[in-house]
Amino acid sequence: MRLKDIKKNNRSNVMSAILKHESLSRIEIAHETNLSPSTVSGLVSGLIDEGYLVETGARTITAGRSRVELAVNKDLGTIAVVEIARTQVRLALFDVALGELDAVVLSHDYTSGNDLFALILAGINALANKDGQSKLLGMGLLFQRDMDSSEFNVMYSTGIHSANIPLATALFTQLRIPVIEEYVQDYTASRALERMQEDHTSGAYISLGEDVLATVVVQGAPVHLKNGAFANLAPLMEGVSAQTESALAPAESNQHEIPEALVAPERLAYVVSVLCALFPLDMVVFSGPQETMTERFISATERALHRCLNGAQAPWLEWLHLNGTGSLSATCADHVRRTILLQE
Amino acid sequence: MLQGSLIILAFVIIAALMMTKKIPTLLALPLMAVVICIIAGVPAVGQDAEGTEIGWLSAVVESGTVRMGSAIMAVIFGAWLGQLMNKTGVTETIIKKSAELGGDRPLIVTLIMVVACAVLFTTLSGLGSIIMVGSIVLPILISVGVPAMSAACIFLMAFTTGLTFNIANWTTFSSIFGVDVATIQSFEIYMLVATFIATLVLVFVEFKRNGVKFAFSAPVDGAQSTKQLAGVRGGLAMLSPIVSIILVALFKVPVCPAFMAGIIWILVFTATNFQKTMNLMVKTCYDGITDGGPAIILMIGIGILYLAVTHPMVTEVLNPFLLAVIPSDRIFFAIFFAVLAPLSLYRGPMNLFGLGSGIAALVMGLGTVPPLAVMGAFLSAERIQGCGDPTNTQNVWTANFVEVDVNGITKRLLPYLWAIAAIGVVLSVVLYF
Repeated sequence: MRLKDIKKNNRSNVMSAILKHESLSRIEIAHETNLSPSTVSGLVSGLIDEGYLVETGARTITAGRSRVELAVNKDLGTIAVVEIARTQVRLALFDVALGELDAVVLSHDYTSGNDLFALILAGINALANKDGQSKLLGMGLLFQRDMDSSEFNVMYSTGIHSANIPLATALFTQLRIPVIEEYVQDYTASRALERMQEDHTSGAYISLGEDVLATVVVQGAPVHLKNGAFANLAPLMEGVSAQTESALAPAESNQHEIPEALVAPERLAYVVSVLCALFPLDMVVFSGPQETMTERFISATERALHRCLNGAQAPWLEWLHLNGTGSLSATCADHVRRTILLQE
Repeated sequence: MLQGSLIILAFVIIAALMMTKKIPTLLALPLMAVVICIIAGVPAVGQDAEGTEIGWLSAVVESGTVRMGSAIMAVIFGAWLGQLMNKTGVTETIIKKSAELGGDRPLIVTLIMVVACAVLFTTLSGLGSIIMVGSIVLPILISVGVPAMSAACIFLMAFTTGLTFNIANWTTFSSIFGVDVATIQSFEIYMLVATFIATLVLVFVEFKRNGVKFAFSAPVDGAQSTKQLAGVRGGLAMLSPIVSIILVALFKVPVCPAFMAGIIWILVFTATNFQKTMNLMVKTCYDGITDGGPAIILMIGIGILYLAVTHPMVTEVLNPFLLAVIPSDRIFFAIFFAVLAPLSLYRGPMNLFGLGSGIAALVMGLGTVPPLAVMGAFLSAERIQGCGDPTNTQNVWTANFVEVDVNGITKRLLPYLWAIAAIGVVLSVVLYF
C-alpha cells in the first residue's frame, strides 16, 4: 500500500472514530484506532487546519490528565435530505453535527421528473440564501416505501438530443456534490438484519418495547438464542442492580436520566455491553417507538454504553424509529456525512 | 418534377423545424416519412398487383417501426450490460486502476485515461454512462494539470474512439445500410485507427500548447463513488467490456448472444449473494431499457423514414434529383462527401441518426455509386457528429461539468474530426469504388 493510501486510511479511521463518538480527545482517538498518539496528533492537526475538526473546549480526564476533546466542525457545511413520498416532498437541512437547521415542505402532492428536480433546486437556493447558510456538502434522497428511483428520472435535453437520467445524477450534475439514494425500507429492522447477513458482519438487533427482544448475527449467520432466533432481555435488564445503574448514571445525577422512559438507558447499556462481551459485534441496531427513542434517551444510552465498555471499542449504533420520518432524515444525513467525510 | 420539388421543400422545412428545435426528432422523422409518401402519391392503404401492401400506413409506418428491430435489441442488451458495468463498480475500477498506473506523470495518466475511456465506450452508451465515466475521468485529468477545455476535448475524443467499436452501433449501421455486421466492422477498424491517432495528436498538441507541468494531487472529492473490485474475480470482471467485442469481432457470434455472454460474465465475477445478484440483473435490465429509450424511439423513426424514401413510388420521384446532385465519379464523390461531412452536425442531412439515414438509403438505391462507398462516406461523417455536435447531450454535459463553452469544444475538435472524416471518405473510395 502506498504511503499516501496509508495516510488516507488513517485519516479516514480518525474521522470515523470521531463520527462514532461525536467527540473524543486525541488519546481516546489513538485507543479507538490503534494508531500511535503522535500519528493521531499529526492527522488531527491536519484535519483542524483543513477545517474538518475543532477543539470543543470540553475536557476529559484520561489517566489523570485533562485532555481537550475534538469534534466535527459543524460549520464545515450543510447536508440536505429530501424526503420523497407520494403525498409530500420535504427538504431538510442539517449541519455536519446532524443538527437540523431548517426544513421546508416543497410539495404536498406526488411530484416527479423535471418538476421535482426544479423544486429541489429552488428549495436548496431558498434555504441557502436564508440566514446565510454555509456550503452544501452533500445530499441524500430518501424515497418512501414502494418507490423506485427510476420513477423520478429527469429528462436532460439539449433541444435536439435528449436523455433520461436518474434524479440523483441530475442533482449531482447541477450541484457538483455527492448525492446518495436511500430507501425508508432500508431502515427497517428486517433490512438491517439482511444487511448484516449479506455483508457477513456481526451485529445485534434490539427491539425496544414492553419486552426487549434481541437477535444476534455473527459473521452473517444468525445465532441460536434462548427463544430460537431471539432472546428477551427484559429479565436481564430487571436484574441490573440499582448500584450498577447508579454507577452508570452521570456523576451529577443520582437517578437515571430519563425517569419516564419505558426502558432505562443505563440498564439497556449494561445489557448491550454484556452482548458485546459475549459476541464480536460490529454494530447494534435499535428499533422502537419514537416516544421511547428520544434524542435524550439515545444520548443517555450511548454515554452509558461507553462508560460500561470502559475504553473498549464500541460497536456502531443505529437507531430506527418505527413511525415518523424525522429521525430517518437524520440517519440519512449521517450516511451522507460519512460518504463525504470518509470518502466511502 | 413538381412532386420532387415539393418533397425536397418538405424535407428542408421539416429539417429546419427539427434543427431549430421547434419539433423533436422523434416527431420529425415519421412526419417527414408520411409527408414524402403523400406528396409522391403513395396511398394510405393499398396493394399492388401481387397483393403486397403498398399503402404508407402498412408498408411504411407499421413496417418501419420494426425495421430496425435487431438494432433496437442490440441497444437494449448493450444498455443492460452498460448498466451492470456501472452498478457493479467495473467502470469505476477500470478508471481508477488505470489512473494509478499513470502515477504522477500527466502525459502518461492522460494517455491511459484515453485508452481506458475508449475501451469502456466500446460497450457503454447513453448519457448516464458518460456522466459516470466523465465525473471520474475529468477531475483526474484536471488534477494532473490538464486545462478544463483540453480535458473536455480529450475525453470526448476518447469516447468517440471507443464508439467506432461499439457493437450496438454496428448493428444500427448494419440495419441502415442493409449490410452485415462484419462489413461494418471491416470499415470501422480504419475509423478506429484514424480516430485514435487523431486523439493522440490532440493530446500532444494540447500538452504542448498548455505546457502542462507535473502537478498531481488526489482526484477531486466531488466524484460520485461506488464500490471498487479487487482480486482475481475483480480482474476478470474488468474484462467485461471486451468480452462481447471479442465474441462478435473474432468469433462472429451474433450481437445479442454476445451481449448476453457479457452480462452473464459480469454477474458471475461480481456476484456476492444470489438474491442480490438476481435483483441487480432485473433492475439493470429495466434501467438499461430506460437508458436506451431515446435511441430506441429514434430508430423507430429512422426505420419509418427509410421505408418511405425507398418506397418505389418515392424513389421514382426523387431519383432524377439525386442523379443530378450525387457525383458518380470517384474523385468528385470523395470531394463531395469530404466537404459536406460537417452537415452531420445539428441532425443535418449527413447525420445517420436522423435525416442522413434516409439520404443514405436514397443514394444507395440510385445504383450509380457502390453502396459500400456510400456506407463509408456516411460512417466517416458520423465521426464529426459523434463528439463534435454541440447539441449532443454528451457535449453539453461535459462542457457544463468542466465549465467551458460547448461551442468552444466544437471549434477545437472540428479540424481533427473533419480530417478523420476526409480520410474515411478517401478510404471508402479506395476500398469500394
